[in-house]
Amino acid sequence: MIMAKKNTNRMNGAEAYDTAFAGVTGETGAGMMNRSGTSTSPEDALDVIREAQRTPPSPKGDARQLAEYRKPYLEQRIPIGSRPVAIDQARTGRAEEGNTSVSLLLDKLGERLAFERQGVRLYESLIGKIKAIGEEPGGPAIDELEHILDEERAHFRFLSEAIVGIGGDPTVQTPCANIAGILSQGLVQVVADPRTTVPQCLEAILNAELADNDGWNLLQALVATLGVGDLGDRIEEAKEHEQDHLEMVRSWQAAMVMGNAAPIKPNPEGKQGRSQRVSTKSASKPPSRTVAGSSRSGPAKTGTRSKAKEQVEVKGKVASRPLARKTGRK
Amino acid sequence: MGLDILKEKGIPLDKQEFTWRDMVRVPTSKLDDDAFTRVRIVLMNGIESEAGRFSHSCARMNKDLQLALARVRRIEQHQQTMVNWLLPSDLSPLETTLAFEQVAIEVTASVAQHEPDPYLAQVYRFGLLEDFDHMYRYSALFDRVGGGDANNILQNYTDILPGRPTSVEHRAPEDDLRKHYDRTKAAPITKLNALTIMAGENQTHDYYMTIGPMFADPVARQLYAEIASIEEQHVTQYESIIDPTEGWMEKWLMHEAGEVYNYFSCLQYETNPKIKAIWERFLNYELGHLHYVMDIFKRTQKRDLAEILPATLPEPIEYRQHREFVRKVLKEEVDLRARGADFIDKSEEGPDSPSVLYRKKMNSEGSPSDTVSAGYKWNAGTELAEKTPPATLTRKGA
Repeated sequence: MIMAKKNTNRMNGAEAYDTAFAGVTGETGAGMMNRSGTSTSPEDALDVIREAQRTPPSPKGDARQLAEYRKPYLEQRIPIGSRPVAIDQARTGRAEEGNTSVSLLLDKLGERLAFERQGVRLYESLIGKIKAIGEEPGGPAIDELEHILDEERAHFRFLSEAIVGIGGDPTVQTPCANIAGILSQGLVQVVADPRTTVPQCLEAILNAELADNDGWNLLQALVATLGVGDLGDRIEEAKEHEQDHLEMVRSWQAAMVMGNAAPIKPNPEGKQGRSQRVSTKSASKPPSRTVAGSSRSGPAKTGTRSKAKEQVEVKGKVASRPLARKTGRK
Repeated sequence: MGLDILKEKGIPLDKQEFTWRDMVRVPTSKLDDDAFTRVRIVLMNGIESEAGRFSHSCARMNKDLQLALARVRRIEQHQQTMVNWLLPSDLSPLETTLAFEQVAIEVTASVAQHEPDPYLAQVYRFGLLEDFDHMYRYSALFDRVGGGDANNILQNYTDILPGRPTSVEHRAPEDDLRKHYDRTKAAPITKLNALTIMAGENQTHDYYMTIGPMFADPVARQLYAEIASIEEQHVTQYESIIDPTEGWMEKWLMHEAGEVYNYFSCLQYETNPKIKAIWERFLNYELGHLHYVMDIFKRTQKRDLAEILPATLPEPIEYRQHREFVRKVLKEEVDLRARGADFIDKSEEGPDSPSVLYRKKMNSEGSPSDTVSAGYKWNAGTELAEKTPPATLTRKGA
């Protein structure tokens, strides 16, 4: 059997970098370091930068030319897809009074429906991850996430009923639902990746909840404008749930990130390292935490708030992430 | 409906021109275009992909043909680009996967029903049930990881049901090779069918190998790894049914005839007028390629073209749903397995047969295809929706 030998051909390259940082544990494991920046090898970096600057562009111009090139496609004004119409109208092919408003409402209801359905899968994925790796200080507890999950499921069911109620087909992928799907692909990728940490997943969930909150606000305003009053109460309830979710996710994320933060000490020469150029104010300041404004009742709400508040005080060990570069390739 | 390919000369090579702007059109709509428009686009990308694959292989073995091959290949490269770029950017890799499996199901079903050789028809039905199962597994993945409904892509044309379980499709290489048609006796449609399905399966394999690593979820990554392996088996199966004694020139001619046949089939069924114009243009381009190759054949081979090419094209591929046929095949043949080039019932597979041992080893640390679909039943609007389909749903005519 062939056994791989240690590669000694490039000791002046990446391996020298590994050697310089031997014993340092980065987020990806022992001896692993982030090589993506110019500081990985300042001499090489200076060389490639100089060469790029010395060479004239081909051709001359600037980034504005891309916009000009896109114009013929934009000028055709071809939409990504058609808005749905009420099923009776689809059957008869008749455009009736109010048709546009119904289509608009169905499109936005379809968007929220798709979003809530994807939200269910996102939370299921996060719950699976935390069940596998365990709850972490400052982070969400399984029962808290399962509570949110139940509410996302309930919103999905409500939206299906609402669409049927105004004569629509809840299985249609509307243009706005399609856009929501494209946007959430990145969120799914972040949460589903076994390499991402809980705070990294919470960043994705936070993005989802921020968009969801605005989505429900807009839907509420739209329903009021269109005079579909009977949906108003259910939308208000869902909106309050989502506000609650947002606050919970925010507090978990802040607690987990801040729980890992500690004041950056000066290096032995008494000078600030490169990593200290960033403001330390935010790192040393406890997160501002607002708990008010939720209508969600019962023990889960109270428990969530108090638990998150307690956990923000927990300080984890100093992270190895913001490490100032000492050396590069030789 | 037949097309006289010996008489129709299409557009000569020197008139076949492109610009980047011409090549990259506004794509089709994922939501508004008919699913079969997408099916045709996917298949034709596969046909052009096979054209390039064959052309390069041929060039590596035939110095005298290199320039002629390069001339045709350059045009086909741009044809493939124009066709493939008709897929929109909002069609995610997993949604495109569903479209690929819809191609494999519906096109193979059409081919299986029109194949005059009973053994080869059996080969197609055997492969069909495996791709049918892939659709089910990917639909479960789409629902359970992305919160999506596969039927938004399939548009009610295609069933989402378990087929021959993917976990038992893994076979030893000796059980993937089939008997080939005899080039001197096979009907033209037999040769065209084999080329078409081989091309479709090969691009499916290549696509899964490209996009599999783009997924973050380990279940998805394993599922793509598993199904890509089956697609590799399918390429092995379908290339083995083509007579290996066909010479390079004969194979080149058949490839060009196959491209003519496929664009001709697309043209008969296309509902989007902008896409129909592309099929018509490329049908004429392919007729030009065919006659270009026919001229080379006449100069270099001491054989009659009529031995190889039919005067008129067979009936086109039927771009319509084939649910009843597929359900019948599923009912009657789901338990078939392969032993060498033959098909047997699963009860005849011995515990020590090469495929059983291989399958056992591959699945010994778990089966991604079984895992992703555990307990899964497709439901309109995903498995999270109410189980009763809304009575208000309208059916598309198919």
